[in-house]
Amino acid sequence: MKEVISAKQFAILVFMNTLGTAVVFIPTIATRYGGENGWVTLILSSIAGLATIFIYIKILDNNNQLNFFQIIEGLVGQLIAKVIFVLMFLFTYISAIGNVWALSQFISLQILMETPAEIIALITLLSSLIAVRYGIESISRACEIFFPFTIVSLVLLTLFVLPEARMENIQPIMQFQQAGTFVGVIPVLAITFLELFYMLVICTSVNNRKAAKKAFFIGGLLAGFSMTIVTLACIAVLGVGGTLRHTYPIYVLGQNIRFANFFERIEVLVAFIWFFTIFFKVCTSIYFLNRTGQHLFNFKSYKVITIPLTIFAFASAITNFLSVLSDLKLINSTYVVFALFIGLIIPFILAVVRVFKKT
Amino acid sequence: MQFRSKKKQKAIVENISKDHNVPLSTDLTENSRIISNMLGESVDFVSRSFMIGVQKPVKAQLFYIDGIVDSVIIHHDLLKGLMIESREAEQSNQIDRLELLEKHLLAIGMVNHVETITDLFKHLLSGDSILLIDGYAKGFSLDTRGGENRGIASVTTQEVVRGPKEAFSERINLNIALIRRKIKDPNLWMKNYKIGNKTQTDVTVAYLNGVANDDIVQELDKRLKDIDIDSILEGAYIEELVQDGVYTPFPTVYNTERPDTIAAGILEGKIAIFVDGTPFVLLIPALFIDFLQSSEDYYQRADIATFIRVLRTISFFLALLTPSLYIALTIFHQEMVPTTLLISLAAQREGIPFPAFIEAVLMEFTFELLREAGIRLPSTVGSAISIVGALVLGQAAVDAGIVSAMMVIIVSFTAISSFVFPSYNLAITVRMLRFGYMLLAATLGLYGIFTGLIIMVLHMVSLRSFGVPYLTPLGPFSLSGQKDVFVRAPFWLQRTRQPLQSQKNIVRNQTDSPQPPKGR
Repeated sequence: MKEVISAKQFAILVFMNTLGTAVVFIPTIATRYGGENGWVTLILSSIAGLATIFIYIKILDNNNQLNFFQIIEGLVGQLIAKVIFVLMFLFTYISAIGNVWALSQFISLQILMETPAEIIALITLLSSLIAVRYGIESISRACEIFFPFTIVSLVLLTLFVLPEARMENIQPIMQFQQAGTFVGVIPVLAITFLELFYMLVICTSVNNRKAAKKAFFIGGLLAGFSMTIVTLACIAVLGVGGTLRHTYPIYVLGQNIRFANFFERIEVLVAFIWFFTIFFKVCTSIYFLNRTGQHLFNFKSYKVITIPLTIFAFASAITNFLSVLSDLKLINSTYVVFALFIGLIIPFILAVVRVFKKT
Repeated sequence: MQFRSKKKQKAIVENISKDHNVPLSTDLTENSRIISNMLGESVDFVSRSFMIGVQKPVKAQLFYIDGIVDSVIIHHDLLKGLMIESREAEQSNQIDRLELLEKHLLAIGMVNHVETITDLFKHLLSGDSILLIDGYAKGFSLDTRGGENRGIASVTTQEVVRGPKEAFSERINLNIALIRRKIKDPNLWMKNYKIGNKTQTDVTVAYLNGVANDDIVQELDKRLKDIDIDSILEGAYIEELVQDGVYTPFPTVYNTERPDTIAAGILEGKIAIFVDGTPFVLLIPALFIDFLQSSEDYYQRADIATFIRVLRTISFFLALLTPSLYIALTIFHQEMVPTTLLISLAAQREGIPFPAFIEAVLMEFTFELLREAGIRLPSTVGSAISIVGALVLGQAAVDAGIVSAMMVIIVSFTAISSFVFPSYNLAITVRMLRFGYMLLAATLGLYGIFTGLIIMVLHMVSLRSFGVPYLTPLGPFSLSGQKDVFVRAPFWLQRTRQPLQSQKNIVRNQTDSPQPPKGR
């Protein structure tokens, strides 16, 4: 049975996937490059990200018949297409296990202090295995149900820390580190919008292709806006030094919530709302991995490789990353090159091929 | 001799049950013997032989099962007509005796012809009387169904403050009549099935033609026809045999004993399944939100109904999560508890020998026992259980230092929350899942609870009730569907039926919102 999702659900999936792990790391990264202009970096990244999404949707045609894999094969031929799929598979695999590990470390460092991160990774991957086996329809519907909670928590977070925001923290605007503000766009883009390449697979499951393309933009725009707000709040409340010093500035932001002298230290709840976004990102990327595997090996159903793939992902997740600091180093160096190549250069070439084929 | 007749009798029965379409014999005594043998000469089987006519008398025999027939009809209308009034009818020049009987003498509403033994038994055992005439290989089945019944009782499971108090009873024709009385529309179509090889239970499907989704009607028809089981004693048999998902704790078929709920469901485009012998009528497709709604929501003002619905939704999460949140907070996340409360909690738990998880499981288990015992106990000793529950297991357990006072509060609070649901089967689901969440909370804290919630939601969105996604209109989200989910919009705003359940003929209301009179 072909699974069909609506454009609305697709927009929410894009939102969740862009926000994903990124929202935990981005304030630090943006602030490192742009200082007090970190939020300007985010605005620029969002604009660049929307341009990237524009390239992505150019690859697809308006015909609802073919899926993503068939479209690419039609564009560049079987052999080159397979190479592209393998590259995408590897990139998404690293991103997925990176996300799982970042989530596990975050929870084992901040929330469940005595539980090993390996256990958290296992539980997360097992839940995502259940989700992937239920299919993208169920994932997107569940996403739809948790979406309001994510938005409400985001709004509450910014509202509650508003009294503690100090304008002098973000001043002077665009006076120092101007070059850094622009350079920061590249790593920010690498862990947010450039990872969205795999969303094209889900885009072809949407019942209305035109609406899906629009939904891609809307989801990206909303996510870019949310990340800008969060970064702005981090810098305004914690200051540049505070944002840089903390590994998880958004969590520290949550610790500043005080309400009616009774609700204190409810940052755990905030953290778990972010857990939803990361979880759905992991689910979607693992779904993509399974679909790619299914296509590469010509399986009838992607469900045959879900269990082995989850076991592989668990093993890689717990062995491939040393620590949070090395994660940050990876995000800022190797990963950027990888992301630029697969998330920007390849799609750009594909889009150009599509434009030339049309004329 | 006795032995031989038993053997012979068995042979006849086997012979007949092997071949389902044995025609009736022309010999009346032969027919009578077969029928009586097949019923094993049961005591409630009555056969009355008599003569019809005086000038050309003919032997006739009437068969019925005592207790499931209306004896007044048999004595006054049937036998009197056949034995006494037949003399006058003889004067007319009718040639065919059967036609004469049917057209002039049988003063009964529904008369059918029976020609085979199986056909005969189907009618006989449903409460019809069978009239056989000597010399004819066919007879009449006469609708004399009756017998004792409970009548229309008042609602016992889904009480309301405002709204009709009548409830369905065990008799299917009475139940259908209750719906017919509410919906006076020729499009209310009903289809009858006989399900159960031994019980031959009447199952009636009712829906509003032109409003209900035809695909669902056909799907239900197919699933009902596929049932091959020897007995249907309650609607639950049908429910389990026709539902979509097999392995799920969530109910995907709605049941109620309230005629107004069933009528409202039919008017929304749902399909009702009446089963003979039970006051509970099924309604499909059933969505999750149906189990959180009561018919009273529509009888109270819209704002009150909305408030109660929000209360109910919150109580769903409270009933599901309160003990597990308590466990997670006291074991893993003490920093989230305000300091003063934390100190008082720690003081209470000082002398308690069990960890919070064991304590919670113990108390929840005790409460489940109490509740189950309260249902099974005869009502005369029912008050004893409340004394035991309130005094011994509440106050005395705290004084004895087995459980903390906070735990008693948590368990009571959970119990009260789970009594809020209008639907009993969702309450059971929540009771079961609660233990799973407590385990998750004890092992992984809040992270475990959130993981459990995600898996539960994933499972729920994957469910379907006759093709309709279970969490409609939340996921897949539909804005127009929100008028009747957590918010009960006023009737003048609810112009269409719920989407996905009925795709055609969706307008149901064209009243404008009330306005104050003009010119003042």
